[in-house]
Amino acid sequence: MSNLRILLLLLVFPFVASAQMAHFDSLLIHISQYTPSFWQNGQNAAALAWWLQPQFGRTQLAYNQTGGTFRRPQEPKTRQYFSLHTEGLRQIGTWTYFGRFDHQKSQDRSLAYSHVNDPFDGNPFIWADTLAGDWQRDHIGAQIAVGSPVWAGRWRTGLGINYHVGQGARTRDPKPFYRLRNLELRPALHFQANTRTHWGLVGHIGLKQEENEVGYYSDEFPLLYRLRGYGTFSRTPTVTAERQMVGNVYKLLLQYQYFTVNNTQWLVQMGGGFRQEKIREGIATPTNGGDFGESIGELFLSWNKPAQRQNWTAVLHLLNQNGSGRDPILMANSVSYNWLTASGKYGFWQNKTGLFRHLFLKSKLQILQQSDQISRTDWNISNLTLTVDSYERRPIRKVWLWYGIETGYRARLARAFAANRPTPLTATLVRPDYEFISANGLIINVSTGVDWQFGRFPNLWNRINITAQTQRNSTLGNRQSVQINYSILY
Amino acid sequence: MKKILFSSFVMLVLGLCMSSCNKDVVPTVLVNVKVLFPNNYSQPNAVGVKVTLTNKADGAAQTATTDANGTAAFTDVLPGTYDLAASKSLTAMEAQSLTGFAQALELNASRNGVVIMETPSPLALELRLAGSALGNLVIKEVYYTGSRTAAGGTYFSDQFVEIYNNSTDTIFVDGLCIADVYGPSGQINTATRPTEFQADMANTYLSSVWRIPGKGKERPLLPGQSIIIAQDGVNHKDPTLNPNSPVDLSKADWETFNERPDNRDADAPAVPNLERLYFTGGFDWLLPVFGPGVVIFRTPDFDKLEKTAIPGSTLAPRIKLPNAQIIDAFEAVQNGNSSNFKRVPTALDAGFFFADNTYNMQSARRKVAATIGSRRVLQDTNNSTNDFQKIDAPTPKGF
Repeated sequence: MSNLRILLLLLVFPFVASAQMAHFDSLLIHISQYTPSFWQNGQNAAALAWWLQPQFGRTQLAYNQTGGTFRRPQEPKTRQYFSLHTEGLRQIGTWTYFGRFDHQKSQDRSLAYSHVNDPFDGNPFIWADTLAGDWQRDHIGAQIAVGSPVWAGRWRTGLGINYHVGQGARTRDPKPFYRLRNLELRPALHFQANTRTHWGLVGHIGLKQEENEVGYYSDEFPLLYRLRGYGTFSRTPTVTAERQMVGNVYKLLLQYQYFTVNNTQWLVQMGGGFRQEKIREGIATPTNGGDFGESIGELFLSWNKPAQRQNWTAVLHLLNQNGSGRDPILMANSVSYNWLTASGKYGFWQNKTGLFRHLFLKSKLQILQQSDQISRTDWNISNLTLTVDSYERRPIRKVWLWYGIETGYRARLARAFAANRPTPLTATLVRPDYEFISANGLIINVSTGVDWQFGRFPNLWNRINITAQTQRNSTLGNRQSVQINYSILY
Repeated sequence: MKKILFSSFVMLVLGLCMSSCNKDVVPTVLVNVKVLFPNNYSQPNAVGVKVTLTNKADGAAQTATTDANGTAAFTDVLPGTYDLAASKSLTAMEAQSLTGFAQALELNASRNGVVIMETPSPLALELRLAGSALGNLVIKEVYYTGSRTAAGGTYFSDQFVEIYNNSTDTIFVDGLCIADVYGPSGQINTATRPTEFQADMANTYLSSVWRIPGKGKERPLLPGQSIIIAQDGVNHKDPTLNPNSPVDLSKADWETFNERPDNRDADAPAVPNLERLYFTGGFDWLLPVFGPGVVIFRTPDFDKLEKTAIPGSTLAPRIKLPNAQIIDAFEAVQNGNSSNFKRVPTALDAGFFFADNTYNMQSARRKVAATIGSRRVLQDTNNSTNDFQKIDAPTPKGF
């Protein structure tokens, strides 16, 4: 069969079982996430063959319910969604294929101040109104990655393609609506210098497009707000309106992996890139709605030391995002932010007969800064989150039971806020958002589940699991999320 | 390995440094607003006048008071489009000194849609005050939004205007005229534009005009009393009409009856009819549910008033009424951002009212400034923004 047919087969019929697949244990999918790899941490398709993962397939149905008052002003009061997720990894001949498909239908209740898909991605130019309403969303995502056989003795190439399409609409007049399409291409290279040293290079070329409309199916005409920063906005009475965001993303990631004599593994990844988005309003005579740009720098370090009793691991991840927006009315770069996140993890995992467990200490330091010259708003926040994450999986008769808990605390180290030319949105949107981001909070995540085999089919596993997450703040309240999943693994 | 880590660190530091490279200086402007009294006043510069500069984009307002030279200075103004407004109340003594007449006056001035650019700075602007005497008949309440039927449909026949004697003397309302002002209330649809007559600050252009009949001394209105002019003088709560309507106008003082061959407008026999002097409406006198302009006036000879064609329109001409003949005015527009659709000249009404929506029963009622004995004195600064309050349901002859 041609490679194209194989790719389609992988996406559409993930239940196809390979006659050459060995006995399959659902734990094996879980273990691979403990060992960083070029594919897992950098989406390097050329390194698929080196991913410590048996061939597998997984199909999951999920239901999630989230609610609570401890939230950002542009988050819905409650959210619920159903999702279908399927993914699989296959090696056919000397080629390696990975495919993933997601479909999610969600309903948000009482969402205000946002007519776009994601008001938190950094772009400050957002359409909004003051009416809170219910939103219905429908999103589909698909991913294909192909890794080539080795050539010239040391080289592999690969290509990953991600596609995301979605739409959403509010049920309350004037029924704002969005529609988005995102396409990503990730060409990749893998070079094995010797038995211990590997290099990888991954490119990322992304095209983003989102269209927004309002008022076409309404007989009410409230004011349409155009958010232009942190408190800065303009508003006009609007009968119907439309706008389009077109964006590009370019990134490059360099990877290095080294195995010592005793199999200790070092993985280093560093990269950077930039994102540009342009907003245009109107169809017949498009007008400038804002220009946004973001540069990203990233560093990932991991250390893995296998030992007789435990496998020790340490990870450090640094991510710096620096964004700015050019105001469409004053034609000045008036909005900017800098978000620095440093995440770390240290601990061990062990897999003995009859027991699998892990114990990690995790930390995350955030240093955030945002400013808007028009509304003269400036804020700085430093947060530190520390959590302990433990997990166990053990057999009970013919099933595997697992349970885990991660608990910790987010502490505010420092913060400062100033708004010297406040607007009505400073008090209703900017300040509450700042209070949420800088709030202390208790974090508790629990999960439990059970895996069991389909009687006569040893390569097919059922899984049911429940995860519950809660964040609590003494002043702002709680936010909790419960998700129930049913999966088939093969 | 160490070299790799060092290089990585350098790259991140460079990324951090980029955070300070992308900012421009947002320009601001110094604006000086000179406020002048009307031309025939004894002194030109208006001192101590409160001036308001409102950004049309976000509604942010700054205020300043004129100094001894009549100038109000606004620092740190962002370029944009603004509405400029000034108001000054003169006591009888102050008016005596300025005009020679001892009569309290309310002066207003406004300019809408003033474009302030980055240069020049300082920018010099000028406002000239104008106004009218106080203490007369005033428009007390205008109920124009209408209501919803039980099935969710629209009902607008229950509109009314209440006129109040705000003076200390009996006023005879024979010959008093009431009219709606020509022009849309706001951006009703994409093609809507403000009235073509907006630039004429000396006249008001009327669509339909009605008059209270009488020979001059037949219709006395006592101080603190009011009359109701209804679109239809019936009990609108009647089950055959709209049980959800908030008003029973079967005892209204007057109604507007548009006599037609097809009898589309009903004539309530118990409520006397106004004289129909000029009519450009549909089957009845319907005030725009998005917000009307309403004036009451007296004119010595209605037939001598000029009829002016609407530029670029085939609609019937409008009545051009000199502002000096207008006793009181009321302006309502579609929403808070529709100031550019004002129809009533600023000297008569410097502001505007707006309801939250159409067909929601909201009504505009004038505020009470003082109570003298049993008589209420209604607030009248010739500014519908300040003088009227938004009430959830109309209160015909509520007091």
